Amino acid sequence: MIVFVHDVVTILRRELLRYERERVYLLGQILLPVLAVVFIGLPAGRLGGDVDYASFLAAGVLMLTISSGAVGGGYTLIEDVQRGFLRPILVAPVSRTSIVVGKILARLLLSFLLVITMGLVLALFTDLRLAHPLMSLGALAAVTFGFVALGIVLATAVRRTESFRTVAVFATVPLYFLSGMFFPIESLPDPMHLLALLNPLTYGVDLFRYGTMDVHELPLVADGLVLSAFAVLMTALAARAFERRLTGP
Amino acid sequence: MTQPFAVETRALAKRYEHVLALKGLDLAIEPGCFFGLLGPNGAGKTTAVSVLCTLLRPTSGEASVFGNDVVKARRDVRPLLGIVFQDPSLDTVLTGRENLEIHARLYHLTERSERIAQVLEQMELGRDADRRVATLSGGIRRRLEIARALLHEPRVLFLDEPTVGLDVHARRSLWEHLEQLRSGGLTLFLTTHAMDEAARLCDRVAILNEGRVVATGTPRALCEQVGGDHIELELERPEDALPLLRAKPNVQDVWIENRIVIVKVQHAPTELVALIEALKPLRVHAVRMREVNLEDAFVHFTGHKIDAAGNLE
Repeated sequence: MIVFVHDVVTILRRELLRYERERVYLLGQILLPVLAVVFIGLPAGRLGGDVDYASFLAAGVLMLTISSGAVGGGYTLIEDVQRGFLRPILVAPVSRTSIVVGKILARLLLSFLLVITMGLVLALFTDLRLAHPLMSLGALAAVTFGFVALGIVLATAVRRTESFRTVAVFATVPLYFLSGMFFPIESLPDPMHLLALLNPLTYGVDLFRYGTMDVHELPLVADGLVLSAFAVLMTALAARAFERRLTGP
Repeated sequence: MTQPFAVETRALAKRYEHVLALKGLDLAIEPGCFFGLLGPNGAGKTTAVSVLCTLLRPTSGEASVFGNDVVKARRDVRPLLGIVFQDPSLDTVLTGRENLEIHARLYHLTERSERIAQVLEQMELGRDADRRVATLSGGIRRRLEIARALLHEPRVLFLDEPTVGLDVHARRSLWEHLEQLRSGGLTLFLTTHAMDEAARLCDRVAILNEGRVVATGTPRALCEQVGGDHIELELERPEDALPLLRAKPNVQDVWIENRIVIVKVQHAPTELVALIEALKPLRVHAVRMREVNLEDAFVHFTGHKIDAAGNLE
């Protein structure tokens, strides 16, 4: 167990070193959501009731940054395999699980830092605040785990590096639009509303809004159950896909 | 109990879907030996290394490193191995030192910075260690990879085609650095298609052809098995010389390579005069003698010549 933690921390260190070298890319990740809130959220004004759209959208775009970033993070695992970076790690006396867990935890830490940074900026001109810190963190963790895992699964499924981006867009963009990130799912027409309820990300966005704005559309118990199941299931799928990718031809 | 071999394989076979990459490999390498597995691209060299390094499961047969089975006891095998893969495997975003640091942690080394300083000095990398790998030349990257492979003091160092893509100067420098590892009792398992490299570094070699070992021994012994000397002749019209030479009783073989006639005889010094005599009507520009080298042995045992890129001609 101590060895496992030690190995996870080693992988985590490596990931963080890499992220640290990609500061410009990270800055880009922060900039786009903030601009979206400024140029779309603020002019759009108020939704019905006393929820202003800028705050609503702010919580949504934070989740967008986290989930899309996580898919990319999952992809880097397979990129490591393809570029050969992972081979010396695989020959080292280190378990495969510690590699995957280290990778996901690194992304989680990064997600956390991104949310804090963007949240602080967005709080300057929206009503975003940490209403329920644990709920926010829970949503963040579940979505990160689920989407890093989704990235791994998608990356193992595509043969060529170049096609990953396209596949990822097809697989994830519908999830984003049907998650209530940009509009309350209540306002969606019936078939779309149903699809939104089948989308695990909807529950992540809902729980995150509860955590940061104290509003939610769905029962919190449903949020918790769906997110836990999603994170666990996707991580298991990813572990299997990764193992197959390694033992395959 | 007798001391186990550093690397031993028995009837080792590996099948990829429809291709049989290894067809029963038998090797026994003594500890401290610099061993070379020779063969053209696609002969199964990298497959053999991958199985020995626990990355690939063999389809049948057995392989062990210092008596530990590479499948059943792979956890015991891994700490004994140092590997430099054929394809680059350094993290190019990080510096050389950071790459080594992560590796040292993965092997649970204590006193990491001292050990890193040692291997960097061993491979003469001091100045380049703190630059990002992406900015380093191929030769330096290779030395960094060797430094990384040596970090945890492995008992067997695997080098899979270590000098592919390096310029002449970088190759020489790498050989010199490898030569210095001999004193530490390390076992070296080298794969290469460059016969000059094998002749320069290896105590023993095995020639691999289509997944099977066709000859094994010291480079000198393999050359002696082939036997004889080669006489190289430069003439105005090489083709005309062939029938004349083939008619001579002591000529074992004759062929043309790059417009140079090569004659194989048992003992060149005693045959030379007679040959030149026979070729008098043709205009001979130059004559050279050389002993059989490992490249000739390779051709002899496999029936193929290998080009500079490692492909069969």
